[in-house]
Amino acid sequence: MLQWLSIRTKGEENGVVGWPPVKSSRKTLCHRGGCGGGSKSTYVKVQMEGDGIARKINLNLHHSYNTLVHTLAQMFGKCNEDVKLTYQDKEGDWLLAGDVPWGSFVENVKRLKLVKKT
Amino acid sequence: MQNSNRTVYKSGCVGRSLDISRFNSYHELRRELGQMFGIEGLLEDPQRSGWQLVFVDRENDVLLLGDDPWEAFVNSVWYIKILSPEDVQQLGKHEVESYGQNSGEKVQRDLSGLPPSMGSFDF
Repeated sequence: MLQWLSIRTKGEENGVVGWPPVKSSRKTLCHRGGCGGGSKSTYVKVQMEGDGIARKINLNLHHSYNTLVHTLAQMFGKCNEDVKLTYQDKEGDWLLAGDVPWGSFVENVKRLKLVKKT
Repeated sequence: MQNSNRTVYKSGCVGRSLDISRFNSYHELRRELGQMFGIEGLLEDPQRSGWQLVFVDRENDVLLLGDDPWEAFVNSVWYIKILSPEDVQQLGKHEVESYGQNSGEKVQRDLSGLPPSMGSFDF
């Protein structure tokens, strides 16, 4: 047990000191930002209404609805003003994004969908 | 990984199988697929070539290859599809299809290789 506690990896900022043991490839992935900086996956699927190919976005790179919508609109070659962001929450309901505080949104969002403003 | 073989489809071609655990990055995968299907160089620069690599995951969603961290992709990929610029256009025409349903219009979708239950994108 003690030998695990003494293992420290350079650059770990979140206080993890080597227990439980993490596969080294996963550690490397996290250091490169692949895990989004946390242990929970922050990559969610995003679809554009009418587009057959979905994308994925790392929510950890955003801190507000504005930056998120801006990035998503760009991803699909649309203007912010032309789209609305909706999301599916943990309960499976589809909701318009923006009503709840950002942190709450990030906790509950399962997938995203951009729809066109009619 | 128990069974790391994944199927790759390209319309007009017979499907191929590759061992996904042999690769460590998207770049390696793109290069190998380009060679496998005789379209070297076209998959590494989709912006320029118009060719896209997509994959279907275990939730039956069609996703652009490359957004996920590599390991997450490896864990979720079910099969891969290579799309020519024409194929990509067809997928974009899904919009026409969904609005044109009542008019009886049928849009030819080249989805050979994708299972019949391929997901609907309407919610």
